[in-house]
Amino acid sequence: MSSRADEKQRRREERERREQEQVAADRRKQRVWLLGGVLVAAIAIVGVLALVSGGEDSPDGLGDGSTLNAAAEVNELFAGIPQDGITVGDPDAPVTLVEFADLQCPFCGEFAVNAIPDLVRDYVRPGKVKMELRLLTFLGAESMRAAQVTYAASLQDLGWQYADLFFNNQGQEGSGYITEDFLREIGEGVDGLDVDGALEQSTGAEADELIKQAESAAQTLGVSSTPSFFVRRGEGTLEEIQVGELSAAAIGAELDELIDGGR
Amino acid sequence: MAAENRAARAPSAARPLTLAIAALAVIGIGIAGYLTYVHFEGIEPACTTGGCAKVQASEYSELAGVPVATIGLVGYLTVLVTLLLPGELGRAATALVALIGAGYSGYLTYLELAVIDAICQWCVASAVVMALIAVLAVVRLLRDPGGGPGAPEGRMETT
Repeated sequence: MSSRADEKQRRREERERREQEQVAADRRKQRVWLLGGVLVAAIAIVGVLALVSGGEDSPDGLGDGSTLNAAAEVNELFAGIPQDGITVGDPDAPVTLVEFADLQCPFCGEFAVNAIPDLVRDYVRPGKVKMELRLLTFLGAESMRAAQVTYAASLQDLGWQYADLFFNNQGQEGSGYITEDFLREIGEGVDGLDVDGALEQSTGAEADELIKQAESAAQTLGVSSTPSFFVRRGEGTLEEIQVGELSAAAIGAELDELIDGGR
Repeated sequence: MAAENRAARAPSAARPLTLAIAALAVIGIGIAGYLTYVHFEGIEPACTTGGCAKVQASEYSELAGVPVATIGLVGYLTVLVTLLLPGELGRAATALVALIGAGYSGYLTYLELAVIDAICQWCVASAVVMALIAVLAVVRLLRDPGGGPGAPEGRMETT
C-alpha cells in the first residue's frame, strides 16, 4: 500500500522535475533574448548620446545652447593693446614674433590657449614684443574660409581677438564645424567687431591679399608645419626659433635673449 | 509546491549580486557626486594624473548643457532604483541602465585618450565602476533566480 503510494509520489515528482526543466530551459532562452534586446537598446542609446555630445552637429561645443568659450578672457587679454592689421603690440617694440598658424591645427589651438595669454601679458602689453599672425591654409577649404574671416577682422584691427577666440573654441579638424554660423558666433564674441562688415569683407581683395602675403612669406622662409615661429630684432632678418615645447616659458626664453640684445 | 521551491532558491542566487551592484552604485554616487560638486563650484578636482581640470573644462564635459558628472550621478541613482524593481524586467532595467552608463563612460574615456589628450582619474574610476556594475547586472539577468515574467507577483520579495 505504502510502496504504491511511494511509486505514485515518485512519478509525480519525476514529471514535475521534467516540467520544471522545460520551463527553466524556456526561461533561459527568454532571458538571452531579453539580454539581446537590452544590448541593442543600450548600443542605440549610447550612439545617440555620443552623437549629441561630440557629433557632426556640434563638434565645436557651440551647439545645444552651450556658450562661446573664453570670450571675456580673450577680450580682456587684448584690451587696450595697439593693433594694426595682422600686428598686435607697440609699433616701436624692439622685437617681433611672427607666428605661422592654421586655424584648424590643434597644436596652434593648444598654443593659443596655453601660451598666448602669458606672452601677451609679459611681453606684448609691456611693449617689449609685437606679434604678427600669418595664417596658412594647409588643412584645406575650411582653413581658408576661417582665415578669410579672421583677416577681415584684422582689417578692423581685431584679428588677434578673433583668432584667439577661434582657437579657444576650436573643434575637431576637418569635422565640418567651421560653418558660417560658427564664424559669425566667434565674431559676435569679439568686442567692437562689426561682424556683418567682416563677413562681407572676408571674400574681398584685401583679406585675400593678407592670405597671399602669408603664403609667400611661408614659402620664402620654408615653413612646412604649423605652428612655426620666427623672430627678428628691429628691422633685422627673421630667424626661426625651435622650441622643445609650445609653452610661454620656452618662447619667452628666446624672446628674453633677443630683448637683451643677444642676437 | 514548485513555486515554493523556486522561491526558496532565489535569495542565494540573486542577493549577493544585488548587494554588490548596490555597493558599487554607492561608490559611483560618491565619485560622480564629487565631480558634480567641483563642476558647479568651478574648483579643480584633486588630481594625480594632471588632466582632470582639462577634462572638466573640455567641451565634452557637458551633454546638452548638463555636466556629464551629473548625468553619471543620475545614472548611479537609477541603477539603485531599478534594483528595487521586481522580476525579470526589473533585472533587465538594471542591465540596460548599467550598459548605457558603461558604454557612454567608455566613449568618454576614448575621448579623453584620443581627443582631449588628458586623463582624469575620477572619470576613469567612474567608468570602471560602471563597467563592473554592467557585468554584474548582465550576470544577474542571465542567472536563474527562479523567477520570470510569469512568476507570481511579489516573488522578488524573497530576493
